[in-house]
Amino acid sequence: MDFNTSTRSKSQPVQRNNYKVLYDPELGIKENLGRKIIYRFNGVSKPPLVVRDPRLKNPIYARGIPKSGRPFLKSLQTINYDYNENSLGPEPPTQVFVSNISPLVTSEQLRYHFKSFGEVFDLDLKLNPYTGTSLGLCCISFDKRSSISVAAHSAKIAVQQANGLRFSGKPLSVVLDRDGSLCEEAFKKALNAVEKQFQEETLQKQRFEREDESSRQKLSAAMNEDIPPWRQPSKNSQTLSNGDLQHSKVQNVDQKSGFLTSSETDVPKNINDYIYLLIDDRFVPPDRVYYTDIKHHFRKFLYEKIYMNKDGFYITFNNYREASNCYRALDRTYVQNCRIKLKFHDIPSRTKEDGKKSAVRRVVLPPEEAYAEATSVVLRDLEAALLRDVKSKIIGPAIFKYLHSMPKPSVKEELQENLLVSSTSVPDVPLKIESTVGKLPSLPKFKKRVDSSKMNLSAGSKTKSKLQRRRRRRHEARPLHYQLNQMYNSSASEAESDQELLLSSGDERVERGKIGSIKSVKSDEATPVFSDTSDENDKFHRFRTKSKISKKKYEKMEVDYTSSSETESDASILSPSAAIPKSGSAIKDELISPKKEIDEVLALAPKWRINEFDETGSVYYGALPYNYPEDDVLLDLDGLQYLVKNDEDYSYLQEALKDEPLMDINDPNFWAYERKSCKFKNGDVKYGDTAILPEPKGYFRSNTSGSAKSEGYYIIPTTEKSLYLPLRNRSTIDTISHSTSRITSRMNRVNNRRLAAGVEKSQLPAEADLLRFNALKARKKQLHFGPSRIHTLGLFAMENIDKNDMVIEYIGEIIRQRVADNREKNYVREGIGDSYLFRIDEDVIVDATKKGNIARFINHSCAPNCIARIIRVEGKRKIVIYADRDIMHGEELTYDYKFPEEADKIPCLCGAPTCRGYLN
Amino acid sequence: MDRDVTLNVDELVSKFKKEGHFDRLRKQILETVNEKESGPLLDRLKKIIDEEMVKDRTLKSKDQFRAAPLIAGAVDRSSLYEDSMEHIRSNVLSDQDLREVIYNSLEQIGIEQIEHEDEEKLLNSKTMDGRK
Repeated sequence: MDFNTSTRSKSQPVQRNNYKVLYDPELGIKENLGRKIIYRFNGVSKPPLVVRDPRLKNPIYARGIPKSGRPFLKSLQTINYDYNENSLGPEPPTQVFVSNISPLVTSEQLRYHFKSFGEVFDLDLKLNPYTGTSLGLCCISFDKRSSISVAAHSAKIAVQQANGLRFSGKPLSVVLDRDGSLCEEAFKKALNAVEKQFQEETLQKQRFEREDESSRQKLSAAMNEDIPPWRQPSKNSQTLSNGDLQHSKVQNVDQKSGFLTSSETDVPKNINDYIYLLIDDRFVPPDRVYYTDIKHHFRKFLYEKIYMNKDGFYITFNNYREASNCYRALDRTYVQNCRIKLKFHDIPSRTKEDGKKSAVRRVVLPPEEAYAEATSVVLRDLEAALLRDVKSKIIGPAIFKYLHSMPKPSVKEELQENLLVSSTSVPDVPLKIESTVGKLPSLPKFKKRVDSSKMNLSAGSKTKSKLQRRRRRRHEARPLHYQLNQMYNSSASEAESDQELLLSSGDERVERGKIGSIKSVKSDEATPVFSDTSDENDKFHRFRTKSKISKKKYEKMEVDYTSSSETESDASILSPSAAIPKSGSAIKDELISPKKEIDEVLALAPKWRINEFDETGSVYYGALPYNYPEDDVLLDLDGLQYLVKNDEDYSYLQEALKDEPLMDINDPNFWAYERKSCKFKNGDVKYGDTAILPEPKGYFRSNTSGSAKSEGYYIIPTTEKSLYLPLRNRSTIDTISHSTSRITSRMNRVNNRRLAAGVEKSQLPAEADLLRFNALKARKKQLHFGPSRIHTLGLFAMENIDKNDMVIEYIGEIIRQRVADNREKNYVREGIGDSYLFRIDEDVIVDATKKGNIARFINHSCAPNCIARIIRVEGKRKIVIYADRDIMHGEELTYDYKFPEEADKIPCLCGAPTCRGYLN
Repeated sequence: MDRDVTLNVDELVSKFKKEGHFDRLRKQILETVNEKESGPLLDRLKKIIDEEMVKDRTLKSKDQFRAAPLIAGAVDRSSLYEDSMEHIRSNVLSDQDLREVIYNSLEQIGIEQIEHEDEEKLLNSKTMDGRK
């Protein structure tokens, strides 16, 4: 004790309170801390104190006391007691005051909305007493009869969730309103404002009226007797508003009716004449089930109206079927926790039959009366029928007859009329069908001239033709007189086209008309072809209907039958003379004079061509009407000599090159000779011959700049690559070694079994485990995946597989369609471009993207060597890949994906000779 | 027994129509109308068309299939049908013979029906007896 005090007095710097000894050398000296006592004052120490939750030291602390099974509470919990008569303090608020409501919102809507927070006891939407419109203020009290705290909670939630909620474009403001005073206040304020405005308005009106009245008084003294008109409107509005007030009161009292006027919901006297469903009042207590609830409950059915009275709700229907459907669906269902029983009421059969006709007429009568009645009915019907007959059978034809007999207005008159009205009238075309038909061996076609630019625009001719077909079908459903019109028009165009045919001025045509192209083509095929042009057309048609024609081919064909007949014949006459090879100095006489200008062309030729073509060299930008044979001509000296055939051509050439600067060449003849000999030396062509561009063989990509090197970096799509890379996308390898002694999988298995049997016989005890033979393993096909020639990775057979052998099961997660859709989107977003989803049926899909086996690497091929089958194994459906033919060792496994056809095509790279070109 | 017999008018009428009497009469009347009344009717129609032509000069240049509905509409708007139907009603339909023809055929149908019903009743009663 003494010692203790002495040590303390020795080192007693501590004068302050609130300290803690952190280190006491008396309790054990630590060399690094020295002999001094270390204190901590007020929780502040030299190395700053880090306060840690000691509970964190125990990692399983959150699990609670061991073996007690009760977890610790994460936070303290407040206990809420229900408010009752024993509770202290004022009642919690159960009312909310809603303001800033759009005037368009009805109390019904509000009620419906606030019902989601709790049982609404009363909803008082304040109305403008003068106009009956909503003031945008509402007091809603929740039902506190059963429990005040529940109602208070509802109110609280309503404030939390509905405040700021946009309702018809305006954000609601919802506050708790204990005793409705807030609402009352706001209502008074609004009312005052309205009244003020109203007074102002009335004053203004009075002023106007007074002025009006005074002027009127001046005009006539008799008018004086009238009531002063300014009183009128105010009176009117007063009465109106009174009525409205009463009305709203009524609504508030009678909650059933909601906002509907009583006349709307009152049951009509002749309710028995309707088909209706009755919900007895016993099932729908008026304080719980409102009109709107019923309306909401029946919203899915085409009811006519809902009426109500003290007996219950009447839901009327127009037809029996809907009513019975509704009855079946909604009988014994729940509305607001009330089970409703429907009573189905049908129209009595008598009234049903009678319904259409006069209700007064008695239907069942003694015979004599019945005959008389029936006679008059028949007469009445006869009259109606007669009127229809007169219209359609006398007047109608008469109009036509009259119009037909009317003299046709002369062309001049017609023109004037057209000018007057500027309407697109269709002049009647003289009917020449008989004359032309007689001359033609084939049936007339329905065609129309079409802009080639338009035709070229339609990249997907297939889709267009589909559209046309659809449109044609629609034509058939049109009213008769349209159809007749169409017939006349088409016969006119028919005559036109026939005339064209006779003139043999072949041009592009597109079939049109009701009969359809196929028919006309068929008839063409059946009848002998009578001229070259029609033959061309015929081919053209066949291609069109197949719609498989490639654009390039198509254009060429166009060329064939458009202008080639003239130009080629010209060429045949001229070209021999033009193409005679001569010595370099002696160039043809007729071309010597234009020589110089032609030279200039050479330097500028490429520029000249670019305008009309894009980089593929085949698609127009719409500059030219159609393709010329000259476009295939290489525009060098020979080409120009070939193209320029007469003075006219030459003059046009001069005109085209007018603006080009002259090039400095000394002797044109020598220059030309040099050019030609250079061309010859390059070995491109025979001397002085072949003006036509050589047809590109195999893969050809034309570059806008003229050289692939100058194009810079660009990506060649895989589909294009497969066109020139010899090993790319060629899954079908030539099976060179068709060795007869190939080991099939069956033989493999047999060998294995033999081996196993042999091992067992030898009875080696020690290595028995080592040599244990896995029969299943042997049955499994040896496969491996690696880079594929078709697409990224592929699956390859490591052994020979027999036809109809099971190769592998396609394993993956089994998911629903919904999930698959979502996953697909996610995969695309993640950048997984390949799809590993395999559909089993409409709603079951196997997804091997994330979880699966190597079967997912099997690529698609249009000429597959495997086939995917869905088989049932122990009641579960599995996707199993079977060999469709004998598969060699090293061959890539493929099967047909059988994707459904879609708009955006996935190009197929299988390289099979029968490739469809697309996966889908 | 006879006093109890009643007939449904609608059934009678539908039966009348089903047996083809109605269409026959309709054709007949149309023919008579065509013979007797068509003259003045067509004259009036011509007048209306002419008026319409004057009103709308484009009608002349229009294709007749397009013009015809327009004119038909104009005719509908005029009082042609009402007047002519009034005329027809008073002349053709109020014909006593026609009424008689209808009445007679209806009567026949009615009698047949009654007989048929009686037969059915008899049959029913017979089966009832048989069952008992």
